[in-house]
Amino acid sequence: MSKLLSSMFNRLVKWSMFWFVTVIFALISVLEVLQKKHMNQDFANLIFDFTNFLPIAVIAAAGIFISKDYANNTIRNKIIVGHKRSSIYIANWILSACISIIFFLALTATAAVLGLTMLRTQQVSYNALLVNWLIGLLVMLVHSSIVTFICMLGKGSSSVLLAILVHFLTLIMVTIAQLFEMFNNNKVSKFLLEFFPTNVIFKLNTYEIIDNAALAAIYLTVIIAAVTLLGVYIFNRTDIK
Amino acid sequence: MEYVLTTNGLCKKYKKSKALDDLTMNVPKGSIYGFVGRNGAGKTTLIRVICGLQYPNDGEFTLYGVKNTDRKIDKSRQRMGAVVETPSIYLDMTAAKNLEHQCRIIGVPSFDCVYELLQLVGLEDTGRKKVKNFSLGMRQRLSIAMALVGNPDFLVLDEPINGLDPQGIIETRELILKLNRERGTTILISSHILDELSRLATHFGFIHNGHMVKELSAEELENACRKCIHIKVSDTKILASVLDEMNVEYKIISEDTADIYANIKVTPLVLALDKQGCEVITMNQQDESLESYFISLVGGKENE
Repeated sequence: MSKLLSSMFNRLVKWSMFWFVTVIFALISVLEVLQKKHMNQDFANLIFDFTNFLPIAVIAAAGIFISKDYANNTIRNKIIVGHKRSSIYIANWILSACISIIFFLALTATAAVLGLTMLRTQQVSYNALLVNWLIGLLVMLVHSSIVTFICMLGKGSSSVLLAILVHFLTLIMVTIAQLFEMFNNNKVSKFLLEFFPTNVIFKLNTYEIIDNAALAAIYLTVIIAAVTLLGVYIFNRTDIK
Repeated sequence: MEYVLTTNGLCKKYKKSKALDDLTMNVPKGSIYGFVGRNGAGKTTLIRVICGLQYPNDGEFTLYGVKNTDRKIDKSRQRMGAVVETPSIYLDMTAAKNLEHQCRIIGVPSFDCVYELLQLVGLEDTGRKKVKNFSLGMRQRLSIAMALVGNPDFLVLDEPINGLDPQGIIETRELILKLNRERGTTILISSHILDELSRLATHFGFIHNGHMVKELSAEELENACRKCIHIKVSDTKILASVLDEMNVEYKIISEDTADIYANIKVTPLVLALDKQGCEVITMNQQDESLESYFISLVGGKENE
């Protein structure tokens, strides 16, 4: 596994697109802080202002990175030389998770460091901020698990598009659930809105998640574990061309 | 004889079609095993199965004595390198970077072998040129170099001369022979270019419709394809004594047929046989090429 990770991270650090997106996220935070400073606004929940854009960036970046191994057929090189399929899958998940964490940190850590030093912080609840931040991190890891699952089992460059499509489908589902919730207090739609990763990231802005933070954390961890284990199970039994 | 790879009744199905059908083969250690078959005969499927890319539906194989169902099969695979079908390389990297990447995957601690491998396949002058700008032949050579990272004992090459120019074909052939002779690498090479295989292989396996039709050594194949006079007589014992007297190489095939491996004058032979009461029934010259031998094995036009 360490050999696989070493080779994959070596590829990642040389991937200019990855650094470009990371810098863009950091830049967004810098501009946001400068704007708030200019308008004399409070720090409030600044660090989550643009988290909505993170899932799609993670899906695109991690998806492209994983799919390249299929597009170039280089996934074969790893299996032929005796790496276990489960190690290959887990290594890809770890890499995808790292991409998520780096993007998340580029956005939130930059905003936190600059915001807390440059803006007023009277309204800031540090506890709530930390809880939301951890939940946000888990949501990013859920997206990593899903994109790894789709791209490792989709076995082609088109799986990135499939992963993006799935993300948009979840957005549509969340919107439908919100509409249902408006008209009747449906249990299913309530559950979806409460814990659906796509909606959780929307809720971070408003601190809504804090009430059910522990449950949300368990729910998100279960999704990560279930998706990853299912992915390893299927990948272990899949034929590769 | 020690075998690197043995398969026993391997079967692989794709939906309704059988790609491998009860395939049994043995690749001796230190050999260059030519795996011959038409397009779609099952050559690439077998290679995918032994490389661990696909799973057999039935049957088993052993690699260095380790069964495919054994957990240790991954360890055995660390001793092999392979080029399966199309080149497996990163197009946005240079040749050297691709090799360095493969070194990392295998866990080779230093990249000292990179330049040596590039030299070996004739790509040492590619410099910073990215693989996406390589010709198919150059990519094919790079794939072979990738398969050689870590000095494998067993090299599997699926149609390695596809896309190579004549010079590339000669260089690849020399490279394969060099690896086999100098490093003792066992090589399994699949191809439908029989002429090329006949210059390399020490052993042959003929596959048809996923089934192994015949396995034989190069020597046996040479004998089978040797120019000879096929003669049918009433008594092969008399024929043998006459041929012995004439100091001619021959092989008795059955009670009434034999193959004579020499350019002999027919009249003295027939007269000598007649003198001893042996009747010559038929006599014809056989000059079977590898191609015609292959066609005779797989059924020729019947199977087209």
